[in-house]
Order: sequence, then structure tokens, then C-alpha cells
Amino acid sequence: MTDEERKSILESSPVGTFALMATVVGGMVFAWLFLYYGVFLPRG
Amino acid sequence: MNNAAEKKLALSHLWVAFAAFIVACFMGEYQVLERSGLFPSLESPTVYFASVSTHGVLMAFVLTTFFIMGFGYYIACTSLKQPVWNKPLAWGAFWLALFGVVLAAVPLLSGKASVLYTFYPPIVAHAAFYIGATLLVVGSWVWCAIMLVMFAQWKKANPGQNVPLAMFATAANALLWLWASAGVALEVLFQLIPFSLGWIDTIDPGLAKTLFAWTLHPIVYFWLIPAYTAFYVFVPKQAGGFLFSDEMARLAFVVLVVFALPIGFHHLYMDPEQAKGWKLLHGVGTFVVALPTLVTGFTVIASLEIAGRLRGGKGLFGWIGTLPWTNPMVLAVILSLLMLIFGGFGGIVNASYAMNAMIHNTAWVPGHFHLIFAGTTVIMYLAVAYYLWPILVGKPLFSNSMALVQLWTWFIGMSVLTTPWHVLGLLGQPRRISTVVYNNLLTLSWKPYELMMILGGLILLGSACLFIYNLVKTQLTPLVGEFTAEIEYAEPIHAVGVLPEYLNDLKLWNKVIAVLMAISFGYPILQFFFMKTFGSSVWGY
Amino acid sequence: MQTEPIQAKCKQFCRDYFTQLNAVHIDHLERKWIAISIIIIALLVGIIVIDAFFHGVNPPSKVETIDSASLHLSKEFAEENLGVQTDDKGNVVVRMVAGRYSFFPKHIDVPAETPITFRWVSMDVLHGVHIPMTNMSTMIVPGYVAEITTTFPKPGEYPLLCNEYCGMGHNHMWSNISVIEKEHWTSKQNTPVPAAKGGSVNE
Repeated sequence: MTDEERKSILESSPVGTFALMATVVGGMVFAWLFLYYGVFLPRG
Repeated sequence: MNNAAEKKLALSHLWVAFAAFIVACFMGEYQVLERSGLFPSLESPTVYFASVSTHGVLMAFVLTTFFIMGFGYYIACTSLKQPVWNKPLAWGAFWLALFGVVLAAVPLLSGKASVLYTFYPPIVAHAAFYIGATLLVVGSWVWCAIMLVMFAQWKKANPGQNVPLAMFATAANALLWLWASAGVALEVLFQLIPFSLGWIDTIDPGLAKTLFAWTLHPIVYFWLIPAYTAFYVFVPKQAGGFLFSDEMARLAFVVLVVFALPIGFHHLYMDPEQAKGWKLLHGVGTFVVALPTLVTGFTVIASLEIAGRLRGGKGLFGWIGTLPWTNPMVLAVILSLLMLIFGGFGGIVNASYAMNAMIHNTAWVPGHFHLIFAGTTVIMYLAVAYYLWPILVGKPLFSNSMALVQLWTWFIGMSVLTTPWHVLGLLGQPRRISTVVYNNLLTLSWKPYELMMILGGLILLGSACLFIYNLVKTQLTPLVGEFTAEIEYAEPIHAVGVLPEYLNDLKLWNKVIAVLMAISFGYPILQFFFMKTFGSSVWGY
Repeated sequence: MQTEPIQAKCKQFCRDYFTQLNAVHIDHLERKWIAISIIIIALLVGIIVIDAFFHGVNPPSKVETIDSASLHLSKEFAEENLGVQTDDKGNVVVRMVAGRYSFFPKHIDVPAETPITFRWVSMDVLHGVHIPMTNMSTMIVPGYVAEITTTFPKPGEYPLLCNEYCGMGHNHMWSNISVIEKEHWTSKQNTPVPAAKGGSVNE
């Protein structure tokens, strides 16, 4: 790995992390909405 | 710096922690076997509830407190590069806390303290249980004082300098614990000890539950913060990279400590002794404390991403594969974060105010806290142990591959144990029963999940034994040749300039906590002294 | 007391705080992530708060005390008054006592698709009660009346299970409830309900 490549990695923004967190937390929001509107409220 | 004395101090605490851990693991497997109903000869409520009480106390109070104390002492001396302040006091606290554990263990193991780790009155245990627990907590308060003294001394000797992140987190955790433990201390000192000794005839169970709830939420952050500390100060370097943001780490610790405290009523959502307005307030605060965990996830995974890319990972997710999965600390953080997804999700469901009715006191609850605590948090305790043992005993880890197998099996076992546990909760199975004897067809749907849980428990027990074996062999195997190792703290990816004082000091946050606690608990506790309440007498079980 | 200097000091404090925070280096993606996290949390909190204030979606809501040691002497929870009643406004109210090791009365009939108010007391220690697959869930703390209103959508036979450790017999603590189709359910008593006795009521 060249010094330039190394430098650009160290200065880059973590796009993979962002994509991963957005997907996972987005999934959690859907799961929460499913439990709230699909299980909890229908139980009365 | 010769820190042989600090190593001995840390090691003693860690051995007590993990001895408690392995004993409790055996009890855990007994419990899941007894609960399954497959072995009638095992069925006994007396033995079961004594086991659950002991297992809970050992895991939730002994493993944690001793691990946190030992870890904290070693972090303090290596990050600040100075000896632990007042070692005789530290040793005094160790022996006091250990004596407290032994004192409480006697009634626990003989079935005279089967009140579970929450010990809600008016059911009362033998007084020695409460007194022993008090001594354990007092020992931990001494640790808190030592941490805060070392923090203050270093700041005075290094004006204008940034306190090392590892110590900032540890001192913040000490502050958190002092505030958190006050609730249960009030309950035990003014209600439970006099009640169990017969000095007072009645107490108010609603007040007792409220005081315990004060402690019950922040205590889990007391346990979690050392795991997060390892995430920030060990993992990035072990992965071959750098800490993505030192400043965001500090901000996360601060928000975590401040908002972990005034939110205990999410444990009382279904209780009648507090009104819904206060419950809603605490609920909102509980959602706020989810934020620093979301930020921690980002900062830690970003650090891993940088490390993975430096090792050649390309594309959006290629860096995941190039991480050093054979480094126990790195493997542990990956598994820990996976469990945090589901454990954290369960926590958010629990926090959701009225929706709590769906899962309150069902099997979902122990499923949740085993996943988030025994999973996410404890797997990091195990990883820290693998990292520290060679340093503390001056010998290499007996087997790195055994450590990897152990971490994987801990994760797999935890997943197999807790997934059916959550489902059982949604199917309405109550918690804290020792067998299923309801003459109702509903219970037939529960059987397959209970069987799966036996398997999960077995895997975990085997995993726990591997862990202990590895550490014992590391300590006892004679050293061949030379071996030196010392803690390596992660470095931040960009140099940290001058930090704002509130990211380098705790005085402001102490005041903020005081205000929030007064708002969140002031009236809800005072109400008991102004309204007409009817106390309960002592009940046995 | 002059408030201007204090107000000025607070304003300056906040200004300093935000200047210092803006000076701290935060990666732009991390900044975005913090904003997204705040929005998501605000969304979930918003749903919960709106449902609490406007749709009555709340857990047990008020603080009402009672002497658990003398329930039989109270008008409301004396044995003859327990079970299902309809008050003069047509609301269905169920009064139950929890005690080692059952819920009393041991079997009750209630109508489906109707709001039912349960009022629970304990005669001894802590209990919890949950009807699986429904939202009838509450802790029962001695010294307090736990009140919860819920609706059962589906008729059927359900168990009521104790879900808080209350002693060695906890496993055996359960009773039964029949949820009967609305049209077929007849109310057993139409006598006016006496007011709750003892202690204060705080919302």
C-alpha cells in the first residue's frame, strides 16, 4: 500500500459504516413498528 | 514503571469475578434443565429458587463489581502512568467486598435468601444476605473514591492536558455508580435491614420498588461502560487501526452517564405506585439514552472500517472480511455488536411505555437481559480477560485458538438460549416460575422452545469451562524464555486539540445529574411521605 | 433578586458551549448519523407520546392506596363485591384480589370487544398478573390498587398467570377468565359501585 493510499484511507469518511448502521437501525424501526401496530395494539 | 503491585491487585479482583462466574454458569444449566420438566427428579422449587437467587447475585453483582474494580485499577495506573492511590485502602475494600459476598452466600446457598437478585419486599430474606450485599457495595464505593481521587490528582498535576480517554471513561463510570447505588443503599439501609432484623414492623413495598428502580437502570450501564471502554481504547489498535473519534467517545460516555440515571421507572411501567406522567417522563429519557449507543456503534465500526481498509479491504463492505478475525479482541467486538443489535432492539421495546405490557414479567425479560448482558457485555469482559491475563501474569496466553473457539461458542450458545426465550415471552410465558404446571393448552406451544434452551445452556457451560481452563493454564504453565507485554491503548486517527472542559471533566455533569435526578425522582419519592400509605409486614416464602 | 446578570451568564455559557462543540472535529458522516439517530428516536417518542395523550394508550396510571391487611373490611374489596359488575354508566368493572396462590374470584366471565376496567389488590405480597396474548398486564403491590382498562378483541378461554415471584407456590398461581362474545354476555350485577376507600388518588 502506498503512502498516498494510506493517507486517503485515514482521511476518508466511513461510508461502509454509515450504510451498515442505516440498514440495521432502519430494520429495527420497521421491527418496532411491526410489534407496536401489529402485535401490541391489536391485543387491546 | 514497576506496577507489580497493581497487577496483583487487578488479578485478585478478576479471579474473584471469574470464580463467581463459573459457579453461576453451572447453576444456570441446572436451572434450564429443571425448568424443562424433562427430569422430574430435579424438580424442586426450594432448590430452583435458591439457585436462581444465587445465580443472579453472582452474575449481576459479584462478577460485575469485581471485574469492574480490577479492570479499573489497572486502567487507572497504566493510562495515567502512576501507581494506584492508597493501595492499602484498595486492598481493604477488596477484602470487605469479598467478606460481604461470603456473608451473603451462606443464606443464599442454604435457601434462606431465596428472594432473587431483585429482593423485592415484603418477602424477606435472612438479614445476613442484606448485610453482605451492603458490604459488597461499600467496597465498590471505596473503588469509586480511589478512581475519582486519581482522576483529580492527575488533572491537578497536568493542567490543560487531555485526560486519557480510558481514565475519563472509568472515572465517569465511578461517578455513575455512586449516584446509581444510592437508591438501593437507601432501600437496604432504611428499609430492608431494619425490617429483616425485626427493628421495624412494616415498610412500604411501593417505596422499596421505587428506590430499587432508581438503581436498576443505571447499574446496567455501570456494567456496560467497561465493555464500551474496551471498544474504544483496545479494539481499534488490536484491529490494526486507530480510534475514529476520541471526542465522540467522550461525548458518548458523558451522555450515557447523565441519561442512564433519571430513567428507572421504565422498570415500573406496570406498577401502581407511580403515576403515568412520571412513567412517561422516564420513558422519554430512556429513549434519549439510546442515542449514545447509536453513536458508539458508529464510532467503533468506523474505527474497524478504517482498520479493515488499511489491511486492503475494498468496496462498501470488503473491509469486514480483511479485519483480523483471529484476534480475540476483534472477534469479541464483532460478536458483541451483533448481539447488541438484538439486545438493544429488545431494550427499545421494553422502554416503549404502554407497549411494555406486551412483555412485562414474561420470559422475554430474562431473554433480553441475558442477550444484552451475558452476551454483549460479558463477551467483552472475556475478551478483556484474554488481553490482560498475559500482561498481568507475565506469560503468553495458553491458546489463542481455544480463545477464538470459546468466543464463538459463547455467541452461538447465547443466540440459541435467548432467541426461544424471547419467543416464549411473546407467547405469554411468565418469568420466575420453576416448572410449568398450568392446565392450559397454551403451555403446549412453549415446549419446543424450552428444549432448545437446554441446548443453548449446554453450549454456554462448555464455553465457560473453556474460558476458565485457558486462563488457569496461562497462569500455571511455567514460562519458557522471555515474555513481556503491556497494555497498548488505541491512538486517535486525528490529533485531538484542546478539548472543551466538559469533555475533559465531570464537575458540570455531576451538577446536571443532580438536577435531573431531583426532577425525575424528587416528587415520586417524596409522595410516599405525604400521602396516606399502608405498610406491609414481613412475609416469608 | 436581579435576573439579568444570571440570564446573561446563562446565555454566554450556552454560546461558549456551542462554539466549543462546533470547534470539535466531527466527521461529516458521523454528524449525519447523529442527526438521523435523533430523528428516529424523536419519531418513536412522538408516536408513544401522542398515543398516550390522545388515544389513551397508557400503562396503570394513577396512585391509589389501600390497606392490604384489612381488605375484607373494605367496602370495595369485600368478598361479596369481587368479580365482574356493571356500574350505573354501563362500564364493566372487575375487582380482583391476588393472594397466595390464586386470583379471586377464580373464574370470571367478561364480554369481548368492550372496554373493561380491572381493579387489582394484593392481600399479601407482590404479585403480577398477565393474561397471555392480551394487554391485561399489571403489577399488584400490597398497599396499592392497580387499575387498568383494556379491551379483549377475541372471545375464548384464557388463563390469568401470576408473573412475579411470590413464594414457593408461585408456579401454581393462576386462575381463569372466559371472554364471551358481546351479544351473549349478560352482566351479573347492576348495583352501583361504591367509591374506592382509603388513601389518596394522584394522577
